[in-house]
Amino acid sequence: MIWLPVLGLILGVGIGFAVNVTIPVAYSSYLSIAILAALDTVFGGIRASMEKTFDGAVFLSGFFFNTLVAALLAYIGVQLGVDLYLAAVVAFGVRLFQNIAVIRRIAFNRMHTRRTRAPEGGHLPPADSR
Amino acid sequence: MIATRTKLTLSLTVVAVVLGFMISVQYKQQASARVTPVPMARDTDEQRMVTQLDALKQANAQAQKELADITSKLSVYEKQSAGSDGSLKQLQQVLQDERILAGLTAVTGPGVSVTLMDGVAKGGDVSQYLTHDWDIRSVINELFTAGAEAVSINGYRVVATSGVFCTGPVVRVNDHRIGAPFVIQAIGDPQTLKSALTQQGGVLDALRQRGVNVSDPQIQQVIKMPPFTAGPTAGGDTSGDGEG
Repeated sequence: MIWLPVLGLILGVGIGFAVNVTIPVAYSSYLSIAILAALDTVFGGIRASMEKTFDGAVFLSGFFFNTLVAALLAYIGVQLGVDLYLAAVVAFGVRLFQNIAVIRRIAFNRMHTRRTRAPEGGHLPPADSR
Repeated sequence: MIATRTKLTLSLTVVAVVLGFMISVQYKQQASARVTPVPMARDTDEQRMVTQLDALKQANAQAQKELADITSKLSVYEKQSAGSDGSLKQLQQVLQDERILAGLTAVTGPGVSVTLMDGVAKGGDVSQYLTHDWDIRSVINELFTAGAEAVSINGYRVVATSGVFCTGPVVRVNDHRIGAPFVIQAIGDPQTLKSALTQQGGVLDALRQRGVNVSDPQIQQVIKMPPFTAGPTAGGDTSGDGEG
């Protein structure tokens, strides 16, 4: 069950390589920013699922919305001559690392609680050591 | 619990498929850009220049055609305006002669044609078997001296300002690069021109003695010659080329 997303990722990569889709070089940066947004959303979703606050609708809408908004932001930035995509890169990058950090700590916490057989409840340590 | 878990997995899967697709597309793009960045750029640049060159050549040819058209119209008008006035007619005739000499108009008439080719080297100095620019010059000079009214090399008109220069393996005539065989045509009195070329110890004899492949001068009743063109034109469209 948990391997289904991984299989999906592999499937997506396979489709991408099999289908001969090329994006004009000018729009290549939009795709990269969209990928960053998507990555951020995916890690956000994983974190939410670990924190048991996952909402499918929020997750899916967030994924597509963030992706599109990021590309749109990059487009506006190009039109205005301001490197707005940098803002998206920084924002998504920071969020990405935060999410990964949270996921890591949750995972460690779970391993710890399982090993020591501490009281159940998914208690989180205070988020101060990012 | 199961429902949320299924939902989670499903949405994650959907997102993962899209993400994987995007990543692979981007990767492919980046990889192809890494492999052939410079040749692609050069290719497009080259193609652009080739297209430009073609367009210029076409425009050039078009302009040449227009020029010839206008010149012929002009001569028609002049003929019409000559009318009955005797002195004016004479002046027009002189003008026409000068025009022909200057190579401004296409001319047609009887004349001779001779072809110079590089001879087959049989040892010794190779350069003596080749047709040089001065060989062509001496033939042309001989023809003009014998009274040729118009001379052309491979369809390119030779006028007073024309130069015949050696540029490596080819010869430049009016900035057109031409290679052997050189077909030299001259309009004028065919008999006089022919005898001027074929006289004993003349230019052609001297060339033959050196081993250059020289054809016998051929008398042709109708030789068509294009007007003088200064620069390179597209694909020799204005050249009468050879046996006119």
